[in-house]
Amino acid sequence: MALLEIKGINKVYGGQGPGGVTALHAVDLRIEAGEYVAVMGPSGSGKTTLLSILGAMSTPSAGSLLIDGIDVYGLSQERQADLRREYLGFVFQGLELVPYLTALENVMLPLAILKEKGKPERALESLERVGIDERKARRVPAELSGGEQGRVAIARAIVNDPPIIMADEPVGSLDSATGRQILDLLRELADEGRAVVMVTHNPESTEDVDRIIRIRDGRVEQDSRQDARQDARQDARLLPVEVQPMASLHTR
Amino acid sequence: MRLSKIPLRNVRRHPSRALLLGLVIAVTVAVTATLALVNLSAEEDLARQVDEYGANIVVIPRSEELPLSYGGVDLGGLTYDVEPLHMSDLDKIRGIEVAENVNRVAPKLVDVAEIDGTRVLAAGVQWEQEFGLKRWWHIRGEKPSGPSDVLLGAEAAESLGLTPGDQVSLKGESLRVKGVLEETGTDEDGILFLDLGVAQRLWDRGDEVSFIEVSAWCNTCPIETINAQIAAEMPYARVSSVLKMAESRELLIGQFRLFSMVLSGLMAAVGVLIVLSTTLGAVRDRRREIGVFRSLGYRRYHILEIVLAENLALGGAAALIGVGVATAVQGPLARRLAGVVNPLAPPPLVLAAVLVTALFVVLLATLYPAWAASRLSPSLALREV
Repeated sequence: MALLEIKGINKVYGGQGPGGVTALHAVDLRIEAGEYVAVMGPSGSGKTTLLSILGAMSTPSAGSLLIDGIDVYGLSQERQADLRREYLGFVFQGLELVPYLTALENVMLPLAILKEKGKPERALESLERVGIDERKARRVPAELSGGEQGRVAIARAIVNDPPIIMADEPVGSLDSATGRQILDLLRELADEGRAVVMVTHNPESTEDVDRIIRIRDGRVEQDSRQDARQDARQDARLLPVEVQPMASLHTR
Repeated sequence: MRLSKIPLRNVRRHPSRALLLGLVIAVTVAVTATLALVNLSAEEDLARQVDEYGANIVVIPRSEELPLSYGGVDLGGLTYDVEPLHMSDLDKIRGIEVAENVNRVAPKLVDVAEIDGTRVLAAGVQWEQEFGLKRWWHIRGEKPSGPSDVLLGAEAAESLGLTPGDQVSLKGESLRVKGVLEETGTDEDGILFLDLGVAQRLWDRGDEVSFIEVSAWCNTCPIETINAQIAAEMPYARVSSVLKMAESRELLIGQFRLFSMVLSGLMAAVGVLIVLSTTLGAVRDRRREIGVFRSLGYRRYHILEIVLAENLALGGAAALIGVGVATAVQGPLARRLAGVVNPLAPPPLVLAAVLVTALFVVLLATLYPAWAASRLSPSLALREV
């Protein structure tokens, strides 16, 4: 069973009638745990729409999304939110850190709605993983460099230990050196066994990915594996992240 | 980190917006609370003044009257079976069940006095009770207090040609004019007041009284109850309430209350609109941020909680300031605007009610923007969608 699977996804904006704009046409995809996938395409090709559907954020006009076997869009809105929290970590274009919260608090955001202890410890651990020390963790984003902000965004995406990471143009607003650091981190996350799906229009960002899906006019134009690179990493790959299925979501 | 940190930090992030909202809420609460407190003070004060000033119950002998006319000629009326009132009736009035509500009991004996060939209406009164009842009296000369003192109404003094300090002879008794009433515009202007005991002796009326004026506190006990209890004690007397005064008091208080309510309502409506529009604007500005929260797994009620908590925290703090301002200014304003002599100490229950109401109104004004925020899609976090 694929970790992430979409079947016959259609997305039409503005209704199904003559005024509607079809963003995705009958897209089928399977993404496995440990895969680092780049979704590429020109502006308006549908790649961000695909990411929003894969990220359980936008209900498709037709078709289904299965995450760990769960029919996501068959769930209620609130349970979709629970699923996002459990299964998905997001790195947004522009990073979207909350400017009035410190780096530590930004990373704690996904934990703030949970009733459990040890949240600061978990957040600090996550920040340490991406190379942000406790001193910098107490700063607001404006007091951090672009690269550090990117790292904080990744720490926030992984603090819940999700099996899937979604990244929307994660290096779009960063200089090349900083962008490289972020891409390396994403590679590491995939090597840990997480599925990483990255939307990008920049070919340089795809150097380390395992698979490239090219989209044009809402259709999958090309789905190619970069097997040699993937094979080279196979041995070095850590054990896959253990997916903790949500019993409540399976038995909706 | 707790969820509550997000709204509190956001308040600090937008100080001008927070200041505007806080100011609107504080001013609305201050005005509303001040009006409510002044209204309460005025109500209490007016009630006390009306209760203390003047009689609101009159007790007169019950009599049967027969109108007489013969051959189309009106011959006046014939009053018969009159059972006069006596001094002992005063104790009956003071002995009713709600006696604590009886403030003044002022008996009077009325007859005609002739002084140097001029006839005037004379009223025997108990000085202390009478002055307690007629606080609006202004006296030229001295206040009478003894059995040989006389007080003249303005017209009576003029027609008798008497001034304070003059001696008068009434039925051979030498009395002294201690004071003259300034014009009141009532029947009292034409009356000669003298001591009740002296009047009873001069007119040989024993302990008889013509009528009794009663001033009662009706604030805690309806006048009808006091009236009924006096009537039960004195079945031979007719007990009447001076309802006009009570009605005019109610009217005055009612008008002030209505004014306060309309003004408070208008202020609250304007406040609600400002809170609503400002919060809607804030939600619009935070669409992407809310999208990020939703993408991180926040449920709709978490977003609702964040938006509501922000305004409720702000509203609570502003309402506290408003209540503080109202507490400070209500006394001076009640004195200056409503002429209240002793403004009430703001009752804690009223202040608590104002705070709760303010929070409820802020909650109502924030519900729609919060609901709209909670409906925002997580996909707003993605720039191109």
